[in-house]
Amino acid sequence: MSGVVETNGVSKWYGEVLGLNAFTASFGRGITGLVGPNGAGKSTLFKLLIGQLRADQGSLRMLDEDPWNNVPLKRRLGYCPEHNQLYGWLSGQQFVETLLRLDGMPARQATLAAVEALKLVGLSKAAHRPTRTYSRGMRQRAKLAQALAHKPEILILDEPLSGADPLARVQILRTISDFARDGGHALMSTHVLYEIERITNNIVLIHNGKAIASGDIHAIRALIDEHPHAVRLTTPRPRDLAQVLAGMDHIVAFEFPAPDALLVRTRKPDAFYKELPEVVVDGGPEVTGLESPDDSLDAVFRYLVG
Amino acid sequence: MIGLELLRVLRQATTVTGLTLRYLLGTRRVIPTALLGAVPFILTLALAAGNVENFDIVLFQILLVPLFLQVVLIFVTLVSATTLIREEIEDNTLPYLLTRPISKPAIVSYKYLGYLAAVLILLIPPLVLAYVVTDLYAGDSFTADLDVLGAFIIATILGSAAYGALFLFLSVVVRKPLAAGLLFGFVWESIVGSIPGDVRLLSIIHYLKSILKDLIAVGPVTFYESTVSAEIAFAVLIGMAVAMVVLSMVRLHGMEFRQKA
Amino acid sequence: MSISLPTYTRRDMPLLGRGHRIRAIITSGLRREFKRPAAIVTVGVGTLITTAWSIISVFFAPFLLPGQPLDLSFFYTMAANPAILFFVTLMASVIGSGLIADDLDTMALSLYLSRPITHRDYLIAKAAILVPLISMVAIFPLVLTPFLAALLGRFSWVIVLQAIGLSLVIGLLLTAFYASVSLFLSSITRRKSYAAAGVFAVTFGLTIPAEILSLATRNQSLLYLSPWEDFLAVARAAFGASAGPIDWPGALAILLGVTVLASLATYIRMRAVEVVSG
Repeated sequence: MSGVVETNGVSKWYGEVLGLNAFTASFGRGITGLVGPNGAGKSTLFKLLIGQLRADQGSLRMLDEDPWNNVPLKRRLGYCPEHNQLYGWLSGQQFVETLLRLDGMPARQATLAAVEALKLVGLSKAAHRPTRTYSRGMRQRAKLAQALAHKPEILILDEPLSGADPLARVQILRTISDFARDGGHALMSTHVLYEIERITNNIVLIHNGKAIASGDIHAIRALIDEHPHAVRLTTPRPRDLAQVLAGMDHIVAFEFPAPDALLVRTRKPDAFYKELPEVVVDGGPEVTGLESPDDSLDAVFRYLVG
Repeated sequence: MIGLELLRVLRQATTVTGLTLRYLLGTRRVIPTALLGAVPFILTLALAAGNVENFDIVLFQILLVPLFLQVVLIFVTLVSATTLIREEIEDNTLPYLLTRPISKPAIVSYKYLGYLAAVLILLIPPLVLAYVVTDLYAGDSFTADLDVLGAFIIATILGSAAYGALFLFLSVVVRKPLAAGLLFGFVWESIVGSIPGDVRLLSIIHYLKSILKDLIAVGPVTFYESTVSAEIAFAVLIGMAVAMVVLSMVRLHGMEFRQKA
Repeated sequence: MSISLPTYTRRDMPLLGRGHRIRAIITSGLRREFKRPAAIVTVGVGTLITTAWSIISVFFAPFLLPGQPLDLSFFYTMAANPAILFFVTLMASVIGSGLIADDLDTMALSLYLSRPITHRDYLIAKAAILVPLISMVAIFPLVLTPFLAALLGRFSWVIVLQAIGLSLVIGLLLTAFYASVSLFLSSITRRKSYAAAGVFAVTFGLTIPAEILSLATRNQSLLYLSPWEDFLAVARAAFGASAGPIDWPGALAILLGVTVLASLATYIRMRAVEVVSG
């Protein structure tokens, strides 16, 4: 077992509804994004990982241990749930401190660790207010603080950006990145695709309870042969450029989305990027801009799920 | 190593117990339960203020058995015990405890201890004050009827333990524990005394009344018909409380938690 | 290249009257209640037991109620059935406790109040959900029994019509009391289980101590504290049964007063409530 989390044929039923369907994937070191549409099974997987649910079939290992009723494993785990409920009658400081004491930390140490965690997530000023008075973004940060405060090895984050304002999002993403940089592992589910791309290239795509792709975003994209890569070139003479490029056998189609643009669909983007400069230098039409609207998680998501 | 482990367990126990105590006594929900718990005291004050002629330790017993044991005790234990696990599930706060290095059975047992402490804090002081008011009004010395006070305190402790454990178990196995608890507490416990035979051995109130009957020297409760001695009643109630808590621990150990949307 | 867009015209939808809006809340509320097994069982069992007992009493009156004259006062014994008290309490707690509390908990209240629905309409609708259900136990058996008794020739139609009329009035009184109290309790908490416990507390928590205290202190005026004893006093007076421990004017004033106060308090409470997002 090499991954931080290894799942093999994991299935989970909710009555007649299949939450996870023979889910098989490996989550590596660092940050891994779990991406999928609503109802795909992301939260079900996380609840299995934290031992809140038990798999009906298959095997599930986290840090090489079975999470179900595994008390010692909980010391190495930090969990940030999706919902926003906290212990409303406790202040942020008390909330984090209480949970730290449940980790077995002495009182004074728990207080200091709570202060540090709340400072990390930017909640120092509101630390002594009851959490029921917190806004949604503050609750997100409080949840993250309690997940990080005991310095776990692995963070499970279920929609940590949900409901967070732009500033809070930046702060949360930075905190997760710093955690991973310091040697921690994080599994994060989100719908905000462009933001998960900002902090990691490792993703697992889940749909209808199944893992449909896992690994590096770009590698996955490259494997989707039936969907040729699109490359958009800005040029004053798009039709002339298309004529010149038509000789490349890996090009599938041309489109002209704008008077000064040429959209090329190619099965081999690497070969295309290599050959394009040669064509231009050899007297081909000028190319003033180049972008790949396609080489993104959003495109991968749409191709595989849509 | 064992010492460190024991220390860790102690910290966890005090934390969960403290959290439970804080919730039951330190939030707004304490207002109705404290008011309910204070009913014996308020009642005795009202009787004293109303200059009721025959208000003495005998009337104290007549009133407190149906009012305190059969209404107040059941209500306070029901409302407190059913929140221990069920409300955490409904409020989606249980995952915070479940993702800590503490077993589910341990969570149940520590919460139960917190419940017991909270409920006794709510019930015993007003009971003692009610006794003091009664003896003051009747002109008796405080030590004259200590057997009555002692019996009621013991019944309160054992009743809280037994009812609380039962309602805790109900809250773990049933989605609407309050309804089930109300039916048990106000229907079963009320009518079981009228059913002939030994059916009342299946009620908690029978054992509480048996304890009062054996421990109180003089008074109407001594006429309660029971073949159960105080010792046996004590053992049954403690055994029942332990059994219900253990069953709750076992049940919770195997439970899965699907969060509310 | 030219693009033509479809012309957009605002759809003119006439706003239906208040009655329609209130009916919509009632329909959806009743539909929801009748999907809940607890509500169905409570209504079904309650109606069955209270009605069956009343009818059996009519048939076997000489054996079950020896010495009871077969006149208007006979129907007081139907009204004094303790099963009515139990099932009315149960229905008020099972059904009534969640009517407003659930809306507060799920924040559906914000959806209601973002429509052209006033607080008063909302409360009227909620009461209109609860009242018919409680009346299945508080009114239906008391009305059906004299009717059947007349059909079977046990009582004259004159007596029966009087009994039906009086049953309607006192049944409505009990229904209104419990509806207003349970709605008030439901409006002050978002946890319906607390409201349900509160309904039980109002019934048994007042009735049992009042009866015990009254017996122990030989002071019958303490029975005014019990809503059930108040109801019985009014029923006694209505059906001409022999006088009881407390007088009906005071009892009636208490029942009506609590009903009005609880309704007012619920209205004031709902006007003041803010639905705070969690």
